[in-house]
Amino acid sequence: MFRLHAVDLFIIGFYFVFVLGVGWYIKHLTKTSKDFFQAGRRQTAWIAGVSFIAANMGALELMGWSSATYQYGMLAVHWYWIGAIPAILFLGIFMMPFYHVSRTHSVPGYLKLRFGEPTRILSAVTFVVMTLLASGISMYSMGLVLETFLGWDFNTSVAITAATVCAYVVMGGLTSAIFNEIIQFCLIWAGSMLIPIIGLIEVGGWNNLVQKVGERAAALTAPGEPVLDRLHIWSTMGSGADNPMGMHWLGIAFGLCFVISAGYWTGDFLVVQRVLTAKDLRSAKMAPIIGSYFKMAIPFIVILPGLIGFALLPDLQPASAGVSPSESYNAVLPLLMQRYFGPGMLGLGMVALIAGFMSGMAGNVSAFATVWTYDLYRSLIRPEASDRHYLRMGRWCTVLGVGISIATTYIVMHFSSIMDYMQALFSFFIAPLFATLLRGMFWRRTTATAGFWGLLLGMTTSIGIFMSVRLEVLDPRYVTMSENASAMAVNMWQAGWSFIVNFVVTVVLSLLTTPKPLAELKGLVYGASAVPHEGPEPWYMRPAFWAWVSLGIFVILNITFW
Amino acid sequence: MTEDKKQISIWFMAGIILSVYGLTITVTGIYHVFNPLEVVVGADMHLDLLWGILMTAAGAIFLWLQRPGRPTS
Repeated sequence: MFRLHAVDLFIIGFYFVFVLGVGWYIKHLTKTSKDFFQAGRRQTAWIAGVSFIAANMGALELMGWSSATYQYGMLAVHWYWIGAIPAILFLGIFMMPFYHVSRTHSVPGYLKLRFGEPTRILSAVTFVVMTLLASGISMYSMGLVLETFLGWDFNTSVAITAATVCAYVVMGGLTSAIFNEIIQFCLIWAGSMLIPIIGLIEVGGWNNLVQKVGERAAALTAPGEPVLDRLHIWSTMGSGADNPMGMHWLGIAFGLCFVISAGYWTGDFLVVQRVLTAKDLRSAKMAPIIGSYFKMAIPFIVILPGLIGFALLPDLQPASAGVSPSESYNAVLPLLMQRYFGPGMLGLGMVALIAGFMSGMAGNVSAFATVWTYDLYRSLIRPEASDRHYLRMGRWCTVLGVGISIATTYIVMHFSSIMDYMQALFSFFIAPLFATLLRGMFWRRTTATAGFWGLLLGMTTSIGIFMSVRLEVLDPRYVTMSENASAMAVNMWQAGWSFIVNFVVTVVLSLLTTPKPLAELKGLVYGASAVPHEGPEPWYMRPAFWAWVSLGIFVILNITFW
Repeated sequence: MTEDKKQISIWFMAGIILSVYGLTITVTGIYHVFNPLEVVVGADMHLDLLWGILMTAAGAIFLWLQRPGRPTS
């Protein structure tokens, strides 16, 4: 257990006072529902871009992927590079023009314009369920970390942080959430960057780290078995048997890159909401591109500590009911903090994690408030109320969202592997959503009936595979085409299958039903009208130029660690 | 948060928290120079002092560049 000093407690206490102060300041600037739900729609590209990445960079991500690196080696970096960059750039260049120009307030809002009310309601309801479950997971993880490493009472920790998040989101809505995400972004970098630096100094540099990881991998391998490489990201993926994840490259290229990642980054309203706050089309396109640079850099504070932990902390075990949280893979990042940080730095490291958990919660709750108020309440219950009424509803359902999140916290307690369940949630709701968005935005022929049934059957497929594998009705080998498939591999493939089912159903039903007239698709679909453009500007100011630079760095990184 | 001059920029607020934490860690780092830690790996390098100074400098840059009422182009 960590021993905190007065200076650490000051740093943690100051954070709580500071975020409440920020919320109090923003409350006076939040006068309309547009301010509350869309942050006034006047953010710069940098603010929208940083909060876009920060919304995904919660403590759960940092601890979860450090833990995954400990377990699987550098393969975890796929979730930061191929599992993010192509999709983010695709969002910025090809999808933001339509999201921005249609002036939609949410992803379900776009689906309403493109496919009609039933598809909007289906996606809004599933988003609300997923968001509240994800929010509960953030809270649970934070309560567990504070209880395990600081000895703080679980219930008290959850209550205090939930009350703080509730207070600042109720006061400032999405603007408050975005402000705190940016502060959290700065704190996470400030509190985490020293870990890989000191770690590399301790092991004696990168070459020594490679050697130690190889030695540890050999020590873990049974006599006569081949030692699985943990430091390359593509060369070991020709067969699932050659890498610790049991993943074939097709699972990464198709399941992760093309389905889960593309679905998450282009269709999960939690992150898309951040770029929808941009003030103009150029900012809306630049925001994800700016975010892509930060995303590529995050492995320095997540993957590298995971490798250092694997080399230096040999006794950690997979998370399970019989293993103490402080001895599981999930503890690798906090344990490295304890190893390298003295008083002061330890407080900063802990506040980075707390801020990460809290902003994860705030992001989910603010997205929930928007989708509930705009896409369900205003659409189905009170269509003609005043703006003041919707603003009040947003504040009340923020309180409700936090309350339900606390309830889901206690449901999550019964699950053993958090990251697997997060990936399962994405595969249920996000992967099929991407197929619907893709067909809707890039094929004029897609009809409203096809959009709805494709989405519904895609979700049913994913949930069906998940349940069948869990109940041992379906052998995971048939889902993943691998003999030693991990739970992560099953999630990738069930996402892939749900995408295929959605895609095929959408195409077939579209060919059998009548499409909307072209005039109704203007500004919503490629080919129905001119693609919105940000206007003339020098080459070095164009989003496409910076997207190409980002893509170039992405290619170089993949080749370097091939 | 926005280009509106009447509002305090989010980067200014980030500057406040980075400066406060940077100064706190700098002072702690100075204390550790004279009272070395024994249980922390790499404590002899006094990276906390260096890190505190860097954070303070980064915070000060944010505060200066984003100060309320600054002239904008």
